[in-house]
Amino acid sequence: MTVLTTVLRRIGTAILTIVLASLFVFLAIQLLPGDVAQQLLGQNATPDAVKALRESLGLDQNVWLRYGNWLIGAAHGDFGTSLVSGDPVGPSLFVAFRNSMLIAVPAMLIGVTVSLTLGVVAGVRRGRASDHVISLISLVVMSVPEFMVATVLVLVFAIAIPVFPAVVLRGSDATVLQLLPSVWLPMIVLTLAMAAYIVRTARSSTIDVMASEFITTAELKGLSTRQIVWRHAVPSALLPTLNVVALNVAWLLGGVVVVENVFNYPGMGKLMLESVFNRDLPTIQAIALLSALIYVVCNLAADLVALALDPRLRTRQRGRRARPRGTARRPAALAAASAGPATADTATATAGTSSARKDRA
Amino acid sequence: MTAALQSSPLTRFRGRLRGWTTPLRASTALSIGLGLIALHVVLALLAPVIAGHDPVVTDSTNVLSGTTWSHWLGTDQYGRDILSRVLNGGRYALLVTFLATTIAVAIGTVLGAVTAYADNWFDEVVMRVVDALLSVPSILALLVVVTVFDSGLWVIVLAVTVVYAPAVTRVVRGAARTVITQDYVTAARARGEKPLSIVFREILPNVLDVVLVEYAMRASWIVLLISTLSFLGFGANPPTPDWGLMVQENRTALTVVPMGTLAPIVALATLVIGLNLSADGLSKALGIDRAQQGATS
Amino acid sequence: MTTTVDDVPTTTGFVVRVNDLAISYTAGRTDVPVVRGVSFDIRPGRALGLVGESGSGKSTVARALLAHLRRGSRIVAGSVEVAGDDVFALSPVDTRALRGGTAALVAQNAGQALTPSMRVGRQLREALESHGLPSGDDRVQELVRRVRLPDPESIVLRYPHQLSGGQQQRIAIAMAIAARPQVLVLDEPTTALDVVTQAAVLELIRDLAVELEMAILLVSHDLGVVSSMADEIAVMRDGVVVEHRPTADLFATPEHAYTRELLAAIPGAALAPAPADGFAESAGSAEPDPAAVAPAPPVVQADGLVIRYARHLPAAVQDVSFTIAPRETLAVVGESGSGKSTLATALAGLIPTESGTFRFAGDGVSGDLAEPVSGRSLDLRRAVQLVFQNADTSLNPRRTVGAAIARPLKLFTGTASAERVGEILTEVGLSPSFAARLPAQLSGGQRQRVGIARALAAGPQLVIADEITTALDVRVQAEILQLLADLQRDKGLSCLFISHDLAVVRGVADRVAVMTGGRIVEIGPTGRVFAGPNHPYTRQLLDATLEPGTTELPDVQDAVATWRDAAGGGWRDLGDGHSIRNWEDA
Repeated sequence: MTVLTTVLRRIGTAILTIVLASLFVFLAIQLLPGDVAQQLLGQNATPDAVKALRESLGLDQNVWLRYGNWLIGAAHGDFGTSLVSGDPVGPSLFVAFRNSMLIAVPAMLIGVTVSLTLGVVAGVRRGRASDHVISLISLVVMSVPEFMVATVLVLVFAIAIPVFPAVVLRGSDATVLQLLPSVWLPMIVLTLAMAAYIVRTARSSTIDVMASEFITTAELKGLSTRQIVWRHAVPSALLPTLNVVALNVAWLLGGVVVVENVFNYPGMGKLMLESVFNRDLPTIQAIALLSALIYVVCNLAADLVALALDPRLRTRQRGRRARPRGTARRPAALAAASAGPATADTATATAGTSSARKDRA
Repeated sequence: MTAALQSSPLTRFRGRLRGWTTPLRASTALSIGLGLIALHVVLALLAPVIAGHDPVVTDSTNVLSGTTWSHWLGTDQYGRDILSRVLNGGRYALLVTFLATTIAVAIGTVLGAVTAYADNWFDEVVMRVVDALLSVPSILALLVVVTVFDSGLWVIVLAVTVVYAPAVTRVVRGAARTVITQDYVTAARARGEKPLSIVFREILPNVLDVVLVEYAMRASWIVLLISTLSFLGFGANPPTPDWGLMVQENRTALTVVPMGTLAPIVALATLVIGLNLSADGLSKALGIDRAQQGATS
Repeated sequence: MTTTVDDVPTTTGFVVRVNDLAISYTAGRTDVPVVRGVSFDIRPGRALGLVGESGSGKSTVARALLAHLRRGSRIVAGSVEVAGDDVFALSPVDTRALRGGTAALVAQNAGQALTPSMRVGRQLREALESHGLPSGDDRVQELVRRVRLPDPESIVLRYPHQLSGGQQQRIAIAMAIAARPQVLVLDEPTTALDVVTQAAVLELIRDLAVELEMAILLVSHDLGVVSSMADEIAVMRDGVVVEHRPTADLFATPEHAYTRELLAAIPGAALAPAPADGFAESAGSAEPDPAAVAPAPPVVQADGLVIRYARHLPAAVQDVSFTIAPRETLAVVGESGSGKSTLATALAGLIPTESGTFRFAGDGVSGDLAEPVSGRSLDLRRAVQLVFQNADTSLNPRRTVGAAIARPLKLFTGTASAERVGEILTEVGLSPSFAARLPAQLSGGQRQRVGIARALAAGPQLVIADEITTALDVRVQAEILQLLADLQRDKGLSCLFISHDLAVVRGVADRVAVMTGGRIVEIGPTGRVFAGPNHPYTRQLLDATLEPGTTELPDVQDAVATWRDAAGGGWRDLGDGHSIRNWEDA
């Protein structure tokens, strides 16, 4: 199997996942009890008015037909009309999305870089003071909910030392420039929340890799610690971390809900909360679909990066059923015959690995 | 079945007990973690006895008081005793977390083991569905469900289950796939055992350690998720004592009565730290490498 | 970095001096001694073999030469001097100069010892760079050529996983000799390799050692490997050297009781000279069995078997025919990838056969073995039982020994009493009290006994033994083989014995089939196959097998095929059931 087929297959799976997700979202919202038209118009609406609205919303059509229309529309960027404002969903979603990206992208870039570095450092220096400090801080940050981190930051940097505005006073019509002073605190909260998990995964994955035989070989070749870590260990250590990074990046979308709410920041999270509150179904659907898309794209990107990082994935045939289970020969068994202390060493090293957070979806 | 041939039940029990407590002695993280969880459970169970005040009774004459003899942590803006509200706030959180985690992990475990063993179209379909479910942000799914069905206990439990069972399925499936390559599973297949018998006898007992770690970890997520929901105003309704809700209510008075916000946060954080430490300690004690399993799933 | 190299202590004549070395491992609050009072010296150009079973501390000693201790270990007493320097007193910079510079290590499993994310050329270059040597492409390719790998230009561009095990090990050797070390430490360098590759790699190492005048410390559990390579042998047990003598002397007159035990346990050695009380009696000579008068119909009959894992893959087993008579042991020998284990898997019903006939006709049971497990009758499943290579993974770690044995009892006989489980345990040489234990509480040999007990519990007529002794130390291996032989005789079992080790096969099999590339190339009574004439492939295998005690390395070519199947196909019958697939020179 060539790289190209692997990539194509992976992309195909991603598209299938998106379509399935959109179907789930659509059906789930259809299943919600209550008549949307009735709710919109209130209890005193005349049956005629309700009927007219149903027709204009297309609610009288077959579910599958509506799903098809919706999906085709969504593919063209047409997400329907907001039930609340009466405006098309697309443009307002775009603005909210842009605003969220304004805090999420820097948070992602800083968070991923810093946390991977810290994780690798903690893993390499396992058991020393720097490792304990990094591990402890990440544990605490991970255990305190975002709304608390946000509150504390507001208290410190907006009230005690007023350098940043506590909340955004402008609405969704604010321009990027107007928002700029307000993005810092939300950004910091997002960065912290995301970094804690990546630090822990990167740490445990680094510990695993540092215990592997090829690191011992590199060490006994006379390489310096720096060369061993960055050239030999990091590429392998990053592999298991990639999925976590992808999931965390996707998770930022969930994170923005809380953060944007605390700071009154006009992004996607706030839009999500408002539309849920107002039962603005087309907007909810659009947000869900966009979120799913981001999730899938992030995962796809992680897989493609893994493909680039790991030559084994690139060049080895990975047919799942190439050999039936139970028949896979284990050369390791031969090795185990006489490895003695070396094997025991690897075993304890693996056992010593702390848990890594796989996903927080 | 025919386990005890020579040894008496008592020695067997002792042996088993020793087996269970070995990880405790091996890992301080696990001891502290389980200790924190136990503390929370005890406090939640005994809350009505030790709280001293009704958590929902307001007292307009005694608003935003600091620490006093009758109110150790002071009162909030409605004059409610903060300590009583914190103690009682844990009950709901723990109950929902326990129920939701148990159901989600149970479903995920069985589904993960079965799909891993099936390794056919069924596996393929389940995994695509799992992927699709995972791609919708959990907070959005919960918000929608809660808005529509109201935030009753079972609604939240079921919603959390639907949100988290897919993730558990994926992790357990990854672990089970490594178990399946072991010779004892091959031996069972060669004997002609039924698939379900293989799943329950051979595979499930050997992914239990992974499941245990998964349980502690998911629980910590769920505690945070539920408090977030309350914080956003979609969870517990006022005046129910709830940690997330308390933070939301007292946040504005943070500088006046810091205890109103800090107490529930400390309670929440210690519970989550307890769960996280347990997950860490368990995986260390049981020799599970989650990073690797993630890579194979 | 050559400062340490220049003043080699030629005065003493030793490049390695280990003096009263003691190493302990700290686990929790307890200190476990791993190595105690070990002393030895090695001169340039000489080779010392360090022999012992797993856990004897031999690898720990070997790695101490490179100032490497595993996490938690420390030097309790003694010193290690390499090229005149106490290696544990070196500064970090000097330690790095020692590692790979003065002393280099070749580890057991090159597949895991090479960094998977780096091209091998890059890794070789690094070995040169880190010791301040010129590291141009020509230098790297020169190294590759040195270890006799073909096509260096393209090999340096590959990743480790794109190389075969033998090629990986050669790259690891190239990396070790890059800086022309004075000491080469080999830690089980060929354990993961096939026998022919092993011989070729050992020959390469020996030639390089002569050329570069390296002192060699060779750690191995395999007496054959050590005796053919080392000038002296030190036998280790529980962290102590119990005997240290020149190789020939050690084999001729072993002094320590443990050494004698080790030598006695060598496959073939213990069994071949004593045909009277063994099962080897039937091998070679016609047995005085009543069945011999009128040959009993075979229990298993395979004719033209083809087995394929997936439609787009080449057949793993191609046109294979054989029979197994009642009470007979047929050994299938071959290297990894020869298809021998596939054959075992198909016989067990875990993969379907594509074509050919495959029948079982035992005592009261008959059936079609071409059917996978799901299509076989209960009786047929019962009659054919598997024993696995690796007893560590063949027992469910969460179930007691008793439960493991009771399961097939219940499934095949309907009842499983504690008494019956106890009886079966006794039959395999364990006490009934083992029933309450978990696999983790057993030693490797005990686990393999339980694996055999589980197969016996079904009451089989045919046992498939798939490399059952590969993962065991040599003394335990001898015990397990003896147990299997005894049970087979007592219960009248037939056996398909899969192995890569000709020495083991010689002791246990009545007939031998040699497989390569999915085909059988030679089949016949054990004595006849070992005596020859042979198919060139069998010859190569026989030649490459290192007999413990011989100090010569065989001259084996592992890269070039010297034969191919004859154009016309067909077999040559040498009589007495010994036949060879027709071949021609390639």
